[in-house]
Amino acid sequence: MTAHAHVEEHFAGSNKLFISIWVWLVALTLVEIFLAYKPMPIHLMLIVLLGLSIIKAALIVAYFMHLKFERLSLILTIIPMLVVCIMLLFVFFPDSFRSAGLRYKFKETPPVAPAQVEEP
Amino acid sequence: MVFGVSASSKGDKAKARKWILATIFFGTAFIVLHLIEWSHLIHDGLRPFYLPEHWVRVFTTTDGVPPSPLFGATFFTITGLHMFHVASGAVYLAIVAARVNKLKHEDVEISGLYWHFVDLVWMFVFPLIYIMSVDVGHHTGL
Repeated sequence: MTAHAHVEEHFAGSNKLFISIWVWLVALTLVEIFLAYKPMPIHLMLIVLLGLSIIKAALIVAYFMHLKFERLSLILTIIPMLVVCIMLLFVFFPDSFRSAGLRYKFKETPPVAPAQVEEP
Repeated sequence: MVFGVSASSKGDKAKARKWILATIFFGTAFIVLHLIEWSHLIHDGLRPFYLPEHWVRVFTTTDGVPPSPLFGATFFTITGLHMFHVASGAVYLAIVAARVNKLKHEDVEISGLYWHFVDLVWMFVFPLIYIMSVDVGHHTGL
């Protein structure tokens, strides 16, 4: 069994490494929860949270899904494809701006000028 | 899960099975906790197209703009689909754990990739749904 492991060891990474990655993930999650209670503009909050989430996702993909230990050509195949897919989803953004104007309003709501609507 | 795949790569089937069973346990715990949360929210009056009355009161801005009634639809769809993925993953892992002696290492590894895909999704669902809804508009109490 161990002789095998030395010859054909595809699965790189030790348990110690995985535990440290896990600790990093937990730490980043705690940072996210801490930030949740900090009042800040919603756009900034979104950018910070998504940034942290992308880091966490990258850690999972790189270590737990062992992409880091694969050959470079696989990484170069998968990552740009993912980015392009996400970019293609942005095609729908103009539609979302349009449908914002179609949003159902409660009848009893007094009409408000768009300029008065506060950014939460 | 990663320990299970790691053990499997070393040919240690018994250890791999043990770790996969632990993964199933925590996955199931996640689903149970999630269902408890759902039942609380439904009890409060959250529905796909309606908010509980007191949410509307609390989250209406000072300008009188009410919160979107679509929160329920978004919330139940996203967390529901995620829960479905976790549940199918638990069944998948249970089959892998039961047959681990007959399966090749690749089979265990692929089940690990699926499981990590599911928790990858959670990395985005959690901040976007839960953290973004923590007192976003600085409203008081709920």
